[in-house]
Amino acid sequence: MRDEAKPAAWFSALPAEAKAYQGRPAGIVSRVVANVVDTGVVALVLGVLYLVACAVVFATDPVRFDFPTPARGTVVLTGLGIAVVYLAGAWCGTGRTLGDQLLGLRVFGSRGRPPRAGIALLRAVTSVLFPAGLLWVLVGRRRRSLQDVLFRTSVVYDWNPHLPPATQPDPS
Amino acid sequence: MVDGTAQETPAAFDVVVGAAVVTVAAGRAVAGRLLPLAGPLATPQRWPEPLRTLANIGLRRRRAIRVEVERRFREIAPQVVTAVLDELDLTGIVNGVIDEIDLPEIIRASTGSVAGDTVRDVRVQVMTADDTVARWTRWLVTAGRDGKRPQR
Repeated sequence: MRDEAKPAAWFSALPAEAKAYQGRPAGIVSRVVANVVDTGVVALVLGVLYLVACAVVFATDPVRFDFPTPARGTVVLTGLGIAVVYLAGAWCGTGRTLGDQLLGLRVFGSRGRPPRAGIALLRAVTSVLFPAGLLWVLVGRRRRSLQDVLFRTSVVYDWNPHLPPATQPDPS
Repeated sequence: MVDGTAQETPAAFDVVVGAAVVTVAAGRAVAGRLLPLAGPLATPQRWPEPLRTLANIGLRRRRAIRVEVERRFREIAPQVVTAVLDELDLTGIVNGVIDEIDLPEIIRASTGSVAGDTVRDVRVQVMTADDTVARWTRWLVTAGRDGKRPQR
């Protein structure tokens, strides 16, 4: 009741131009920039994993230690796996990855809530395997990627730092 | 210049001062004589037996009273503190204070103001870029059928 009577503090603090965008479907630039940030996050995690692997190898046989050189396929598959887990976990949790957080975006499912785990996983797999599906955002007024169309999700501008309660209307 | 003390004569007040000086001197002399005599009083071993017995009774009683007071205090203090805490409704007070001060907002405002402004600017610019790209894309998709270029 209090939220209905008075705008939330985070919303009142928004600049006027941002208030107009709140809840609207996000465009291609925002989503590409968010994806670039998320790619950086995945690369960072991959690098940390490599260092951990090096530490394990060193601890096992420090005398004959040499930096391991993993096969390219292993690196790619590991990176894709990390990306899928990271994206799916973030989307079904808070509805936003770190890139989304930076750009003020949030992924919603068909019921106005973050997508369920299964949907988030499928969306993550298809997004990682076919990133060009994002170009579908340019076509149509609802700014939906191919993955959004397939899994009935949407990505909206949402500067609210917290996941809104279940009464959030379906932004799509 | 003439020395003023040479011409001064004693006044009534000087009698009082003189009496005080003599009294203090007499007191110091008496104390000097009596203090060596009072030395044995400070050492209980030199007290007479009846006095020592009396002192021991008093000492035991004093210790017993102190132990009893401490025991009572340890019994009562937790009950008093618990009763006060029960009456205080600390959870309610803490929740009320937290609700009032909106701590997360303060932390965000104090620690992330610079970063927050930067992020805000980036977001607004990217949203504007979204709209610009969408307008040009729409114009390209419609192949300029209406003949109008997209407005900025």
